[in-house]
Amino acid sequence: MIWLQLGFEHILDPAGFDHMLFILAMLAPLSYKHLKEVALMITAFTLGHSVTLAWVSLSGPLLDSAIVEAGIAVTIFATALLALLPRTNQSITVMRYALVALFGLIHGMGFSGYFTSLLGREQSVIMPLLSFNLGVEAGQLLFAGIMLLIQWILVSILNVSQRSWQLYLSGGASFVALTLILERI
Amino acid sequence: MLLIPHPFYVGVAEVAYDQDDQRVEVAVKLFTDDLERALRETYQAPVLNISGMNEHENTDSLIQKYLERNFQLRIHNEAIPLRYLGKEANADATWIYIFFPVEEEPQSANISFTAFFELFAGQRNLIHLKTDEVTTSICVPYAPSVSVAFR
Repeated sequence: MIWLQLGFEHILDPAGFDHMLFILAMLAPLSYKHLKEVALMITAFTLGHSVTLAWVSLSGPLLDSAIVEAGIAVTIFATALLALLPRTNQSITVMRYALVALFGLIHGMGFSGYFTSLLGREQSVIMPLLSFNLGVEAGQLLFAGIMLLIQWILVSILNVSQRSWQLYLSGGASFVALTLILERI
Repeated sequence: MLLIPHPFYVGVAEVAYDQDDQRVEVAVKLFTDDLERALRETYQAPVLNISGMNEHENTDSLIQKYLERNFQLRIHNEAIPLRYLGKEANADATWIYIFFPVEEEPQSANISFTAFFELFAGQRNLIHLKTDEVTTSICVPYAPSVSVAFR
């Protein structure tokens, strides 16, 4: 249970908001009306970050943590920029899934840095790893749910256009990502 | 020494009872840069260079003092004196080895592990209690102590 909680808190930690910012940029072109695409997008990200979280936790770091941190900021910026492209174009959508999975690999390295720092010296890793990853998933789904709820309120009740929402998130995420990039290089 | 930046605040303690030596053995892992800062702020210590080339001669005694304050073991509400064994640098973290003399394996104990709580609001301290092949992990709250069961 403790590992589940640590994973959950890690992704929702306001002090380490970069993973939430990525999910925000990733879901910016989508809406509560495209739940299937939302699910696919989250799955693509999960596939990516689960692979490297497990890999690095079991066999050691692949990249220096400073490079991972800077890389995460770059993935947010790129994803926020891609969110400007139209959702209706099939090949752009496929490219988006592929890129989100690829970017997930970098975020997974970030998760594993935190996860491995929590481990003891001779502890078995598998069960803590699975629980931690599940906690990350739960936190990610909660964040996506809250985002879609806010969007539903804005779009369907307050008549904000989907395009405005998309631009608002994309612009905001780009700006924050840019300051993160400058901070981390 | 170049310190690798880390965006998170974590302390880890491995706790196990050693039957042969009749003691509770503890290995504490703390980030070295945070430890340096905690010692300097708590004891107005000079630059210590923990595990570095010119480590200050008082470093070990300060670490011991800091842990006596921030890692406490109580059995039946009685504080057990901490004994300091030494430390070992490991990348950006330092492992500190301590023990508490306890003649018989206790049923349970109270542990308070409050390192760096005074520095960071987001500090998470974990205890991994090792008993008979099983490791139980506990996250230490900001409250004074947690109860652990050895048997």
